[in-house]
Amino acid sequence: MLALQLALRFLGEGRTQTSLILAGVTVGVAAYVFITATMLGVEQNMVAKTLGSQAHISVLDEPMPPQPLVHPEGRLVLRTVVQPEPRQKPFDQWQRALERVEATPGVRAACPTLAGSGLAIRGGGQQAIRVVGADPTRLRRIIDIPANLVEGSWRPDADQVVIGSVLAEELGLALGRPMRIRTSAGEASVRVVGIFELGSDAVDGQWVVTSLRTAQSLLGRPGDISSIDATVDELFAADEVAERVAARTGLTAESWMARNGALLTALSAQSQSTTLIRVFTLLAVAMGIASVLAVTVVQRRGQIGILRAMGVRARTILATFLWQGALLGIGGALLGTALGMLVGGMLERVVPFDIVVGPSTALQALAISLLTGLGAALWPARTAARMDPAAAIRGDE
Amino acid sequence: MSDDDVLVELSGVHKSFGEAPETRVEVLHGIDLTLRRGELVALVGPSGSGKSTLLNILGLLDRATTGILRIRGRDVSDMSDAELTSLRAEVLGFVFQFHHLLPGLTVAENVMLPAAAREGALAPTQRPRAVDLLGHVGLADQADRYARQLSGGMQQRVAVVRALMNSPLVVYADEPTGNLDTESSMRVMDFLVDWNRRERTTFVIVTHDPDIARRCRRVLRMVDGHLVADGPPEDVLR
Ligand SMILES: Nc1ncnc2c1ncn2[C@@H]1O[C@H](COP(=O)(O)OP(=O)(O)OP(=O)(O)O)[C@@H](O)[C@H]1O
Ligand SMILES: [Mg+2]
Repeated sequence: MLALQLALRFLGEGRTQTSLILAGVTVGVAAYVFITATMLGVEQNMVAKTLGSQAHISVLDEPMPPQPLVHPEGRLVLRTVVQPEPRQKPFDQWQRALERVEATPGVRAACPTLAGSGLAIRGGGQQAIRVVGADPTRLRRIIDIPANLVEGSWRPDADQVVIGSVLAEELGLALGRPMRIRTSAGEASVRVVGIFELGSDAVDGQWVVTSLRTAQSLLGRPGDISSIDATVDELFAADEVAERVAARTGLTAESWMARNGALLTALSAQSQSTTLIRVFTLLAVAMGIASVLAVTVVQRRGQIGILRAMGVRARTILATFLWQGALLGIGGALLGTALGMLVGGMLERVVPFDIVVGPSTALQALAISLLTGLGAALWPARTAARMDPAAAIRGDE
Repeated sequence: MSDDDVLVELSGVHKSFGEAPETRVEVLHGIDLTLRRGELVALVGPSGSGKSTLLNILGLLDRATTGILRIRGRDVSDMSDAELTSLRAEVLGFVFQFHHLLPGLTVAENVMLPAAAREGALAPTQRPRAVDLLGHVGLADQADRYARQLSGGMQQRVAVVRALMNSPLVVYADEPTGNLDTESSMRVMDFLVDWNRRERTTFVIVTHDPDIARRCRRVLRMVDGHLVADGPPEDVLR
């Protein structure tokens, strides 16, 4: 308590010095917050773009990749390589697999889906399409079509479809218009009841979304599905969840991370370089605090001597200087977070992604700045605490 | 006086500075001294004779190179730094030759410091006594100003009353009137003499001023690290 009181009075006394170093810490923390928020924004933006039209995990009815059978001692005894059969084999007992996928920890939602290719016929022309059939309520938890609906409804009934905006434009299709679809199973007519735009050309230009039953009849695969798509609780845990799903179902489970390796490599390289920048920023902040405190320890030699003579313990002197570091860290964190948000808010208007300083970034900045302040104060504080009171009072040198 | 009244005993105290034999200087050459309850002692001697060095050892701020210091019968040489610190807070008061106040604290807070050291915090309950003490040296109305706003003489008077905050048994004052004009010096001495009589606090006052020394009942003279005289002022000061 005495230590905190003395720390506040010491900081208040050297007002110019305190303001300058506080400004330094503020700028450092602001840079830290801003860089972190920008990095998160870029990452979220790229991930959102990628995942807006992809399931986190797709479970396919394919045997697990061939596994070498290894003898307990490590010697290879047998290896079987099974050639994957051509596709189109029905998904074996998918209802049971669906239950297991849903019961896997980390899975938030699952949706049996039947997808297949076909052609949209209009006038004399034709256009390649992808028929995607799924229960609308389940599908919205995998790919959020309702949130990206441009017009109409997102719940197709029998023989009704919801199509992408690019496809609608290319085919000149409006709501309520009929559309002819040809697949390997034959030709049928459906009605367009909704148009969506997910922001991905491949999806908006090809997807024809309908109920599972309609897709099964269009593609001539009654009762069948092609995959079970799943959403996970923790985006970046998709790999682990996929492994768990594969283990439980004995099927192949492919995560978005496996599908988008290049994107993840780029993101991780970027995150490493920002980490480096953040570390250097914090080092600069720490050295600023340390040098100012080291100077004040020397300036306050006589005062420290008086305090010790009055019976103030060495521990209290140590705590006094640690408090100064901590207070500079906390003060700089609060001001710096505010400044970082301000700069981020200004930049956000000119970049195509969100720069969000969330509570976790702010708390992280506070914790790191506090630790930096304490760490920086450690050495000056120890010097002050170990000062010989007699030498400090003599006032020579 | 009975032996119960003995507060401080020094016997055979030497103090040297420097580690290497060729740079080593001995500043105190075997000091024997006893201080009793209620004594008012002046310590005089030429500059560099070792007065401040002796006071630092008596005040537990520095350790003797050899020799024994007992406070209330207890040998302090085997006490840890932390034990010495709390003993200082309990029984000793200081006025220093050079450094007086903490400029970033108010005058009242400066006076409260010894109590804060003992209680672990500056607290409002310590304030009335601090203001009361300041009143004795005519500075009660300065209580809430910052110490740095006071003149050197005022600061020294604040430092004098600060030494009394915890009602110590012994006060060591190194030239407490060094920055004061004759009249203020005498007023501070009036206060100390009066306090000594009422509270039976022991004072050791280092001074170059014979008028100050004459007001003490016992005078010690130090020359080149030896105590060369110890007696009433009329014998020692001539
Ligand atoms: N830390 C130290 N290292 C080396 N020499 C020292 C140290 N402290 C004091 N001295 C020397 O010891 C001698 C006595 O110093 P001290 O300060 O005790 O004298 P003093 O009697 O208080 O003098 P003054 O009246 O000028 O205050 C001086 O010669 C001084 O240079
Ligand atoms: Mg001296």
